[in-house]
Amino acid sequence: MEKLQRYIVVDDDRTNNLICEHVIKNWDPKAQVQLFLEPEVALRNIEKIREDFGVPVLLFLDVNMPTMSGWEFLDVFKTFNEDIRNSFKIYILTSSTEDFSKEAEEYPFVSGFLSKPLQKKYLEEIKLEMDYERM
Amino acid sequence: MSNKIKILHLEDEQSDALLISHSLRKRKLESEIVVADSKENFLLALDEFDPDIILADHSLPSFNSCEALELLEKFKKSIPVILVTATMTDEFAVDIIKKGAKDYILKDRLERLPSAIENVLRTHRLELERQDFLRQLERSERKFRRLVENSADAVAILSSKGAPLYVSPSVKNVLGYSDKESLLLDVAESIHKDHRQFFFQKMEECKENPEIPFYGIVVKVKHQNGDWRWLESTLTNLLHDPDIEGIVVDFRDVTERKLAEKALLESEEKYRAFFENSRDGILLTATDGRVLAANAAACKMFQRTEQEMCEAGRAGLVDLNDPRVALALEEREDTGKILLEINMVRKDGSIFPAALSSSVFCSANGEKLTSMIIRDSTEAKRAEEELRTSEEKYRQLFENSPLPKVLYDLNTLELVDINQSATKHYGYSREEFLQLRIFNFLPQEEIQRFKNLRDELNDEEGVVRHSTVSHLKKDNSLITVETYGYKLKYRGRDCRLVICLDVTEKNKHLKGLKEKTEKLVNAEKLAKLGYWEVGLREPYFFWSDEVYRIWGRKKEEFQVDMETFEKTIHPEDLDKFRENQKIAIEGTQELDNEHRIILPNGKVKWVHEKGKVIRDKKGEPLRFEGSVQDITERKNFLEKLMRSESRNRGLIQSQTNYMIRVDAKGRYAYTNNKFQEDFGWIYPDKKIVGKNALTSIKDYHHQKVADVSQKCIENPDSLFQVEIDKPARDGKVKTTLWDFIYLKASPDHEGEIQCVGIDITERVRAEKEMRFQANLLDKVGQAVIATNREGVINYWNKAATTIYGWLPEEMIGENILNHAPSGTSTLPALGIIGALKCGETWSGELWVKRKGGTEFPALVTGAPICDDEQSLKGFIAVSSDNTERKNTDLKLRELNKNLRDYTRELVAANKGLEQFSFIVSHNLRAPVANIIGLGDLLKEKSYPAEVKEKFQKELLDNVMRLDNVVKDLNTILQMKVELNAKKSPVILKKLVSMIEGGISNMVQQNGVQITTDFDRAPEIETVQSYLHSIFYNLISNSIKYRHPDKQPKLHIESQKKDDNIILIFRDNGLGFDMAKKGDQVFGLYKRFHHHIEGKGMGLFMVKTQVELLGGNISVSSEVNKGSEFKIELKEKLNKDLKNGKTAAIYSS
Repeated sequence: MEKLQRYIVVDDDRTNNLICEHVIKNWDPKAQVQLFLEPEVALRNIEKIREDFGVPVLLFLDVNMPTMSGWEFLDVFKTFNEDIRNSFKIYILTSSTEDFSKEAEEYPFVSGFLSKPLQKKYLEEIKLEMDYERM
Repeated sequence: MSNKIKILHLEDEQSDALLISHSLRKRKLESEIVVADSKENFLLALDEFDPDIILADHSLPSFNSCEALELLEKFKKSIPVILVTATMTDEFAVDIIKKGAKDYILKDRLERLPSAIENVLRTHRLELERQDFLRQLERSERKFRRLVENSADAVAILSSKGAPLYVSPSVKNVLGYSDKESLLLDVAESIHKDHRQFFFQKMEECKENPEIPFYGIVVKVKHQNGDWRWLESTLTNLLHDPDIEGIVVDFRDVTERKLAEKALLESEEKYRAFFENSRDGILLTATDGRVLAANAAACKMFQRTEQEMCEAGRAGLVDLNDPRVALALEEREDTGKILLEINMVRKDGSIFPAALSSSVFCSANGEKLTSMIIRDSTEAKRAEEELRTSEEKYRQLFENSPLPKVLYDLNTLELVDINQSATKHYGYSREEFLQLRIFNFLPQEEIQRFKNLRDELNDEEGVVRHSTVSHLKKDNSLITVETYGYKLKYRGRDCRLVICLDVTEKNKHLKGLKEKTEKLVNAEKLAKLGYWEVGLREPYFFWSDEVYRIWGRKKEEFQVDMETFEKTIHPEDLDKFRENQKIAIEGTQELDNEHRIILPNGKVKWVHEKGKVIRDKKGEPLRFEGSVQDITERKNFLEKLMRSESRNRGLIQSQTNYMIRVDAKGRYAYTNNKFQEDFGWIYPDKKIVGKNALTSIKDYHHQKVADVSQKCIENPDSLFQVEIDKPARDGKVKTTLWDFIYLKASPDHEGEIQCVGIDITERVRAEKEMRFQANLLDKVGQAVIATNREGVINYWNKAATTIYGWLPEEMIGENILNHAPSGTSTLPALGIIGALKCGETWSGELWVKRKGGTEFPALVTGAPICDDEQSLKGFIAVSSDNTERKNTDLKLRELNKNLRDYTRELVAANKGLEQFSFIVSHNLRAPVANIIGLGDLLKEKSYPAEVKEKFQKELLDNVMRLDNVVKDLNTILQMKVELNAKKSPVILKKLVSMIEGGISNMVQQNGVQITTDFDRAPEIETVQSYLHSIFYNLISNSIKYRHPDKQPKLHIESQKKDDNIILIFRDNGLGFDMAKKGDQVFGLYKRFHHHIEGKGMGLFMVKTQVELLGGNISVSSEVNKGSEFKIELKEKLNKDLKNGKTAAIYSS
């Protein structure tokens, strides 16, 4: 199966974004990766992204960001159209060790919670899941 | 015209005068002529000559005819004037005639003169006649007018419709209206409505019969003043008469007449009524004896009808045999009236006496008539007779009464009459008596009393007054008199009849008797002896006072007769009593009987009756008399003795009681079976009698027994009680209770102490048990209160007194409901306890009151007390003072609360800690994760040089980041240590300038404007380094987060509020969204802006430091407007700091 090819990372940590970019590109050579340091910008461009990329898009979202937290990002995302929402597969990527079970309930469209740094094996697991779903 | 006509000729020309006279002679007119040539002569002639006619020449020099006419007019001489003039113009002629001349003659036509004179005279004469007629007419009219006006009658002329056309002025006299007003009257209205129709009817009739007067039409008409007056009128129809043209109504006031008529009618009726209804017979007769009329009463009296009465005539009614008749008639002739008694005859021939009054009068038509009023005096006569005989009787009684009777005049107090007894008794002769007045035989002291009573006596009618007074006899001796007085009228005087009963002797005897009786009664009382008498021939019962007393009945209430007497006798003794009585009455045996009687209160008494029968000469029983004595005591005593004896006998052999006798030496003389049973074992030979009594008594009671025995002997026949412990068979002790009595020595018997006893061991034991229990209850620390069913307290232990304050004496007998405090819980609780069933209990806390009124909580357990049959006997409650426990409880609760608060704080702190740990770990982990990631990447493959360099740089960066976090942690933790640094006053202005100095570059570069206002609170006592850090952070923050488009301004000011100082930092920078980020602003590592440097630690530090100083910080902000930080610090630091706020570090 083909890999996803389209990826977005939303995190204010530059280093993390760099790491993510390289890891994704190493795993999926055809990958197109967009990095956002500011979540507001990412939200603004959600439409554009879809057009540019097509579907589906894999979104890695950090939690702790100065102006807008990951949860606030999701609150805004929630309000978008259904087909927009369905185009993105969102994973929370955080360095926090907290228990996010409450948030998982609150934001059921989050596909998973991952711990930094992003690793190849994460991507493989994600792909497997998606293959399952498609089946 | 036979007379000569007197002519006055006013002419000054002689010739003219002659002419005239000549002319007249020629005509054969007989005349006498006088000529006047001047005014004076004219006037003179007028007076003297008195002419019939005047001829005047017009033109006289001094006096012309006009003047003459005027004079004539002036003097009112109506003498005609003919003017004689030479010339006459028409105007002049007219003028002169106007002035009064009758004619004029021209001088050259004198032949006309005689005829003119004749004409004028004739005309004049006619004129005079006419005037005369007029005058007469006038006079006549006036006469009739006067008549009509002043007549009492009024005349009116009415139109055929009845409207007044003319009303005579005299109407004013009749109806009060003036004639003018009357014309305006509405006739119909003026007539009374009852008569209106009648009047107009008559009018119609009148109209149909012209010229015929209708007399006597009487109607009521309204007078002007509103009264109704009767008018009698005459109507005459003169409608056709051209002079009248109306109906003449002639009317006069007949009101008086009418009223008089009415009065007469009424009076007639009255007399008729009187005549008819009189009870006396009234006859109307003629002097010759004819009866003309008789009323109903008369008819009844004579038993005839009126017709018969008239037929009978006087002769038939009067008893002709009565000689008084003739006398009567004679007298009546003389005087015209008689009044006498005469015998009359009824129809049936019976004669009756009658009172006759008769008088003669003239009737209206001159006839002499008599009226006779007859009253049947049969009844009256009889009454008179009776009165006379009664009077006689009373007179006799009065005279012959054995009691002195006195009659005196109430007003004069003279004695009017006295009887024989009075004279005898008082010693005065009749003549002497009648001279006296009441005062003469009243002693000095009585006179005043009598005077006081006198007014009362005067008023009394028909009352017999009884009193006791002292009177003086003629010999001045004083007697006591009972008087009976009675007011009456005697021969027209108000008198009083007094009967005097001399009771002096009687009183003396009575007094003596009373004394004797008293003595006797006392004697009776003492002896308890009563005296009685029973009549046998004639039934009567007499009991002396003592008998009543013995029988326990009141003399007034108890009627003694055989029946009631027998009822008082005890039924068991009744037969014996009757028998004894019979024997006594029949034989010569005296009555001597003892029997019981029953008192009204049920008590029984013994009486001893002794009596004998008193017989008459023939031996027939007359009466039964005797004495009776109360012997109850004696009998009771004997009975008691007998009972005691029998009891004794019973006792002795009793199975439950001990009975012994001990002799004077202390040895048993007798013991009963029971005693033998219980104590026989003590003695080896089982024999008790003869042994010393003390041997069966416990040692410690020996003395007691000896003492009691001694007392007994000293007080024989007195009972002494003593408790003695005796040995029991099983080695235990038998407690016994004894009655000791010493029976005195007598010739037959030695003195012995008799003892009766019972075994009270059980009882004693039960008592001990009870006492023990009672003690127990008393010792218990809780209050035990017991009540009966109604709540009346019957047990109150010592603890109850301690807890509640009241003593048992105060509470036992009181109802607990009265002592329950009026708290809401107590009474219902008592109610609950009261409703419990046997075996149930109730516990709870109640607020109760102690003595003194203070309330306190008590823990109460209550339960009903029931006996074996489950019936309720009362209630018991155990209670204790719960105050202590309550207090402890409260303290505990408070502790709990405190604990909870602390726990909450700890939990919060803990949470904070968790948060802190998350934050820190995140901030630690983030760089670590990066390092790991980078490491992995480097491991994967080789990268181009620039990429590798990038990786390295990032690696180092993140390592540094990690290091910084660790350092920050250190800083934060260190803060706690610095807390112990010393506090000093910090001058705020100085602090700010110091900081400004440190960052002067930044300030200048960004054109920052910092303003301060510390006037209100110039300094704070605090830890200087903290305050420095706080100020530094806030100031650098405001510069850092300045608005790019505005000149950054920061204003810092201080305020005082109570003990606190408030610091305000206000900037105009970027601000932030309060709603979204407000709670995170002081959070650790919380940044809101991407592009501005900062770890996100500054405000966290500020908050921590502020809280460590014991203050608090708050912020408000608006995006693009700015932010305001407010810090509240204590003015003077105190020890609070150390303990309170360590947890602040961990809160985010």
